[in-house]
Amino acid sequence: MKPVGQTFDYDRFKLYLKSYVGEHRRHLLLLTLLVAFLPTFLLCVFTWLFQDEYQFNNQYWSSNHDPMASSLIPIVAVLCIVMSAFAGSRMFSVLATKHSREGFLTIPASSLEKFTALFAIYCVGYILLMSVSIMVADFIRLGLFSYLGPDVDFILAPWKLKELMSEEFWLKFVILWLGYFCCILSTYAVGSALWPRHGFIMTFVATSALQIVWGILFLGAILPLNLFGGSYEPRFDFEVNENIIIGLGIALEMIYTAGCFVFCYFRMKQWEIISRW
Amino acid sequence: MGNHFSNNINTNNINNINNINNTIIMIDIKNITFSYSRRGEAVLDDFSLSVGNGGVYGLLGPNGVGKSTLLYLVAGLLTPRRGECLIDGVNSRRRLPQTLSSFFIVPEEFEFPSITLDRYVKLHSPFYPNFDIEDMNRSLELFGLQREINIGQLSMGQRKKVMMAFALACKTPIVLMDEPTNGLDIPGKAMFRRLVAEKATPERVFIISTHQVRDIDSLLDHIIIMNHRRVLLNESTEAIQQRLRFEKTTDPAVVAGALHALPSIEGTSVVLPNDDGDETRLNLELLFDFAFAAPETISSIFNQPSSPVK
Repeated sequence: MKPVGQTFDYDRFKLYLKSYVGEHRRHLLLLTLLVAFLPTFLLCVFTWLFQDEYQFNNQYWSSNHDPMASSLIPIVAVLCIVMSAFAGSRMFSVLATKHSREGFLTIPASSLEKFTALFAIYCVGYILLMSVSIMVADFIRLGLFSYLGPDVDFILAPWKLKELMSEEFWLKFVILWLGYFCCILSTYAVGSALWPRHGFIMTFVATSALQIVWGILFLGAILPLNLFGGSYEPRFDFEVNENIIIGLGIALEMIYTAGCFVFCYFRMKQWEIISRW
Repeated sequence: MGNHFSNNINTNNINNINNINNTIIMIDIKNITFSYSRRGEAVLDDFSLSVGNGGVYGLLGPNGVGKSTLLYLVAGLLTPRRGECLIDGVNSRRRLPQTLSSFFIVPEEFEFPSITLDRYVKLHSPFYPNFDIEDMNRSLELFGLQREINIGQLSMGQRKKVMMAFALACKTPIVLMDEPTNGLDIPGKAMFRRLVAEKATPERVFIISTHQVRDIDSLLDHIIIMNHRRVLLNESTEAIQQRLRFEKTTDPAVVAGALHALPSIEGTSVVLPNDDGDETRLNLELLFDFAFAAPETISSIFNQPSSPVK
C-alpha cells in the first residue's frame, strides 16, 4: 500500500516553498524589481511621448475618458505578454546546472509539491505582482502628468477596468487576451522545462520556427482549395456565429495551457542530474 | 511530518530478507545497466549489489568504473537503462519523499546558495525528521566553523565540512559520500574519521566511495570492490582478515607461495591465506590490487558467485 502523504502534503509544500524562496532570494528579488518597475517606466515614457493627445479635441471622447487609454492599454497588454514569456522561461531555472539539480532533486518533497511551488512563484505570483505593479504604475503616471489636461484619469485602476469589461465586446476581447496570455506563459514554461539554462531564447527561436512551418503548411493546404475562386467573394457561403468562434478560441487556449503545464510536470519528473538533451 | 523511515520488515517481500544471514537488505541494486548517452558504452552493465546490515562500507574501484554513478543511481538522480535500485524495497527513481528523507548524499563537488549556514539549516532541516541541531553544532565546533558564515563564499574544503556536518546531523539511515576527504586538510580528515566512527551504528549505513583509501581504512567495516560488470568483493573487514593475511616479506619462498604479491621499497607486500587464524592489519591497496589481478581467486576464497563473462 502506498504510504500516506507521498504525492502531496500541504505542510511539506509550504516548507519547500519557504526553502526555495529562501535560497533564491536574490534571483527572485531581481525578477520582482524588473516586473515592478518596468510598467511604471513604460507608462511614464509613453505618456510623455503621446502627450499631444491631450491637446487634440475629438468630439467622440467623453469628458471622463482619458485620451491616453487607446494608446497605453495596448502597450500594457503587450508588456504583460512579453513579461509572461520571461517569467515562464524562468520557471525551471533551478534545473540549469548539475549542482542545482542535485539539490532540487534530492530535497525530500514530492515532485508535485516542487512543481506546485514553482507554479505558485513564477505563474501565480508573477500574475499578481504584474497586476499590482500596473495599477501602481497608472497611479504614478497620473501623479506625474496630471497637469497635462483635465481629462487625465486612471486607465488601469480596477473600477475603470470594470467599466471596460461591462461592455460585451470588450469582455470577450479581454477573456481572449487572458487566454492568449496563459498560452504564452505556459509555452515558455515548457521551454524552461526543456532548456532550463536558455529557456527564453530557445523557446522564442523554436516557436518562431514552428509558426513559420505551420504558416507554410497552412497556406499550402488552403491555397490549392481556391476558396475565393479568383475573385474577392468566397466560394463557400456560410455564416459564422461570433460567440461560437470566441468560445472555441477560449476553450482551445485553456486546453493548450493545461496541456503545457501537464507536460512541464512530467518533464520535470524525468529530469536527472545530467542533461540528455 | 513523522519519521518515514523505519526498520520494519516487509514480510510480504521475502526477497528482501536473507534468511541465512538474517540480513535486512537496505539497498538492493538489481541488474543495473547504465550509460551516459543513449547509444554510448555502458558504464555499469548488468550490475547487482545488496547492502544489508549497518556499518561503514568502502566502495572501491578504478577510475571510470562507475562508483560515483552507482551512488547517484542509488540516490535516484540517474535513470538506469535497465534494472532498478531499491531503498527499503522502494524504487529510488520514484523519488518519493519517504525515500528521499531516508538517505543523504554528499557529492564530490557541489555548491551552496549564498546564504548563511544558520539560514540553510533552518530551511533544510525540517525535511529530515531526525535532524539533531546539537549534533550539528558539535560537528561544526570540531571542524572549526561558525553558523553565521556565508556558505556561498566558502572554499571547497570548508563546504565539504559544512555538508558533512549537516549530513551527519540529519541522522538518515543511509549516508552516501563520494570522495568525502577530497579537499579536506589533515585535521579535517582526522575529524571526519572521528565523526563517522562516532555516528556509525548498526542501524545506519555509510557508503563511502573513494580513492584515498588511507584516509578511511581504519573506519571501514565492509569492503566493496567493483568493476563495471560485477562486484569483485563484498565482504566485511572481519571476514577478510579471518581468511587473508597481509604481510611484508623479503623471503622469496614466501613471495612464491603467496596468493598475490606487490613489490615495494621496504620489501614485497604479500597476501597469504590465514591458516593460523592470526589477524593482520588489512592492506587495502594490496587487497584492491589482488581483487583485480585475480578476481576468480577472490570469488573462490569468499564463495561469491561470479557473473557470466559477457
